[in-house]
Formats: sequence, C-alpha cells, structure tokens
Amino acid sequence: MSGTSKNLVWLASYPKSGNTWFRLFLNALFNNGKLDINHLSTADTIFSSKSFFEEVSDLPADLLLEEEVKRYLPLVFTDFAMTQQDDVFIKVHDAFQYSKDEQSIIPAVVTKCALCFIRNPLDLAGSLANHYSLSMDEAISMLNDPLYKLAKQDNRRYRRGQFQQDLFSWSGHVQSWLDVTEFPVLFLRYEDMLMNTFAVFKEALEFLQYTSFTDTEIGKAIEATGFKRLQEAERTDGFREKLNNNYSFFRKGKAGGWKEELTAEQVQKIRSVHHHLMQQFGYHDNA
Amino acid sequence: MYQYWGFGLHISSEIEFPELFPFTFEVPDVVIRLGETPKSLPGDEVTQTINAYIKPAEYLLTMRDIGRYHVINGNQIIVEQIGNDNKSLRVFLLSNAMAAVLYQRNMIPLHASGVLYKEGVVLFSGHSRSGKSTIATSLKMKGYSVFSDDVCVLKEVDGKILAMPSYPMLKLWEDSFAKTGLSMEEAKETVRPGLAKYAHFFHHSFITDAIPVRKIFLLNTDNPLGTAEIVKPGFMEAFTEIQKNSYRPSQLNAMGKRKLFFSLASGLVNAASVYMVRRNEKADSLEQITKEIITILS
Repeated sequence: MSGTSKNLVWLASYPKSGNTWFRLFLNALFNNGKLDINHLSTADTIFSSKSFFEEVSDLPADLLLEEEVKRYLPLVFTDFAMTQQDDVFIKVHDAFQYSKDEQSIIPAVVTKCALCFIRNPLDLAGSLANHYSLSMDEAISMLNDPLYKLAKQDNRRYRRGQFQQDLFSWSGHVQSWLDVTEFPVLFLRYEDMLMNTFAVFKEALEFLQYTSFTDTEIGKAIEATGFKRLQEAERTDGFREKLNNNYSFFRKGKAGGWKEELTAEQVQKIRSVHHHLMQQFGYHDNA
Repeated sequence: MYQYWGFGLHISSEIEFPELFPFTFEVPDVVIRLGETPKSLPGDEVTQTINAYIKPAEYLLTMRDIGRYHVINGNQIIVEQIGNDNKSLRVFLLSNAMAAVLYQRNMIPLHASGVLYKEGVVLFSGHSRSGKSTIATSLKMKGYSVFSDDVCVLKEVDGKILAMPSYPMLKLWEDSFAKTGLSMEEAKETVRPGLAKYAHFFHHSFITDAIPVRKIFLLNTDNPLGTAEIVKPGFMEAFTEIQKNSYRPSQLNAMGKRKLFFSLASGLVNAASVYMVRRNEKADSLEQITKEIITILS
C-alpha cells in the first residue's frame, strides 16, 4: 500500500456529546462563516452510513452480515482515503474495537488523528432521552449497558440508513477511545467547549495542524454555530440528522441541567457505574 | 443444466436457482458454471474495489467464505464456491455478478421495483432503503401485479425505452410484512442465513416481456421538515435525480457505460410521466405515499 497518506480525521463520541456542534463549526469555518445545517460540505459522513459504504464498495449493505460489515468497513475507508487529496472528517459513534481478523475497524493506516468529545453522563441522560424518545430510566439503562448497540437492526432494518454500531456503556465507549494507541486522539469535554469555546476550538484546530485560520475567522465560525442560531435554523429548515420530527435536536446546550432533571436515585445509578471515568474527566461528586 | 429466464436473458446454469424463472430455450445467452477462478485480474485497464476487479469485459468478485465469481464477455459466469453456504452464493451472483453480465452486454440495470400498469409498468426508483420493495408490495396488496423487485433492465427498441424484470422474488425485511399486510406464510425462507430479510416468490404472475414504462416515481428526495409530498419535476431535475439510481455504479463507471446509461435515462424521463416523492426518510410516511400513488394511478 505504497503512497498511502494519512488523511482521515475521526470525530468520535458517545451520542449527544458535542460532535455535531463541532462538525457544524468546521463547516462554518471552511465556508467563511456561512452555514446551512442541512447541506454540510465537511464531516457529512458517519462511519456507519450504509449508502457511503455502498458507494465505495459496490456491495449491497443490507445483504451483509454484521461480521462481514466489520471486516469490510476498514477496507472501505482505506479505499476511500486513497482517492482523497485533503483531510476528510468523519463522524463516528462506534466504540473503538477490532474485527475478528484483529484489524481495528477504524483503519489506522489512513488515519491522521481523532478528536473525541466527552460529556458528563449525568447531562447525557436527559439529552439521550430527548433524542431517542426514551424515558429517563431507559436513557440511564442505555448509558449503563456494557453491550449497548446503536441503530439496532433486529427485524426492522429496511429504513435504517446506518449499520448497527457497538456503542457499549458510556464508560466502555470512552475507555475504548482512551485505549487507542494507533493514532493521536485529542479529548475535548463538552463542558469546556461551552465555557471556553474559542480556546477549546482553537486548541482542536492546532491539534489538527490547521494553524492558518485567524482568530477573527474562528470567532465568526463560532458565532455562526451559536446555540440560538442552530435552534432557529432547526425551527425554520428542519434538521435531516434528527431521528424524527417530534423533538428539538438542539435542546438546551448547557451543562449541569441534570440537577433539575434527575432524581437522587437516578444520579446514583449513573455515578455507581461510571464513577472511575467521571472522576478522570473531572465530573466530581460535587460538580 | 438448469434453464432459466432472468434479467431479459436465457440463462443455463449448473447451479439450481429457485429465485429465477424456469424457461426452455435452445441457445443460452449466459452460462453459469462451477469451476476454478483466478484470484486477481492483471492489466492496466483494471479498476479495483475492496473485493472486486473490474475491466470492460471481465469482472472478478471475491466474497470471503462464500465464493469467487468470474464474469467474462457477458456470456459466462464461473463460480468457485468457498464454504457451503449456497444461498449466500446465489445472493451475490444475482446482485453483483449479474450486474457485470448486463453491463458487459450493454444492457443497463436501473435500481427500481415496478408493478404492471396499463399494458406497461410503473417504476419505483431509488437507492437502497428508499422504499422500493415496500411500495411495490403495498400495491400488490391493492391488486396490482409485481413486475420486478429492486432491479429492472432498460433497453431501447425502435427509439422506445422498454423495461424488463429481473426475477420473480421480492426481498422484504421482517417488519415489511406487517406494514403491507402480506402474509409471512408465503415467505418462509430468509434470503441469507442469519439475515431477517425474507424471500417472497411471485413466479405464478411473472412476465418475461419487455414493456413500456408508463410512470416513474423517484423515491430519493429527503425532506428534513418531515412532510411527505409527490411533485412533478422538470426534465433536468428528473434527469439529475434518476442518475443517482444507477445499479452498482462502480461497475457502470469502470466498464465505461455511463454514456449509455445517460442516453437511456434521458429517454426514460422523456417518455414516461415522472414524479418525485419527497419525504423524511425517518418519518413513517410510506402508507400515506402509497395512498397518493394509488390516487395518481387511478
């Protein structure tokens, strides 16, 4: 595989952790501050997209077994990367893992780096409940389920645009990305993105070696992706990444909402399972 | 040798295909044989995908643990089975290897299902998961006869674009049966072991004629606001949209058939009434859309 360049950049996260916000920021940044949330030119692909897979491989995605998909995915993205001149950003919710061939499903050979977005699981509960139409207790079960699968296929695959993804529990997911040794990974906390948007986004751009953007350009892109702006765009144009139209994708966009949303028992349920990594990321008991 | 009609072709095969339509003929267009295949295709003009080599008149596909398919000159498929999963062996022959046969013969497959209508056919064309099979099945439940599922083959005869069916089998996810009201009693077999997609045969009502396309419904368009509607597009919009529905586009491109596809697609858009179905893929609007389609057809 001579001449392979490492040009894939993974935007990895547990769902509802700020990934889409950062993708929209990149779009605004690369597009001189302009943004149409339903027509993204950057980071418009998710790793689990069946149509992307079909376009590159010419294989019928819905006629493949999960094991085959996991084996083919790294080949599809390697093949794709080799046709690209510039960096390509790809969103991924899958936990970092290996196929039966002991290949990482994310192809390291063409990967430049990854950004991994982390959010306090106490706040995730309400956000997941809203996005996936779950009760709060169901959302907590999702966070705590070590074998959780996203876009579960079962018997109703025909409208699923994405392959089933191994998400694991919140801790399982985060740990899988912490364990990556194949390429550099920068971890970004959603709470820091909210508190110090400019500094954190600039740090991310430096990590990506995108140093030619001026502070004004970065500021303009941040402004274009302000939470109120995104809420307004969703209201007028809709947002094609929503699972249905019965809720707002851009819900609250704040940290600490869990204090009004969760009972003491629900907080305990989350903390007891994720205590270790919550401490590591600064989500302390008194936070 | 077994003898079948499929994709507009007379097919002789050493492998039995319950999916295809039994047919008698003297001279086959295509012969399917079991035998040894090469592991790769050399040459400058070869395009490689993750598991296939594509040349204008030669195609080699490897499906691990299933089989290798070598398609030559549009009239031969050599199949080397790996393992013992016969169903899966047939699935990828009918999807990818047959597409290669068609392109090698200058026959253009279109991603479309269809039902019979006014001595012709109405096509539902869109990418995978756009609802082609479910809409065709819903119409079947309202008394229409299914013409083809997933793929139709286009050909030009005396300046007219005609469509031919692929083979008499609908591939339906388990939940499509409940949605359309089709009984699962008639679809006991999964398409592949371990996949909740079922085969529903319609050999008894299958026709092998090339017939004119009366109407086409293009199913691709996403509408983020979620309302479903059917609109009549202008020529350019319809032409642009139908181009997204080529079948196995890597083969189409690597075999240099894009120009031919353009010509047939533009002829099709000119000759048939074209409708665009705009809906939110995530909203469950198929029932509503099916009703509107029936209104347009009646």
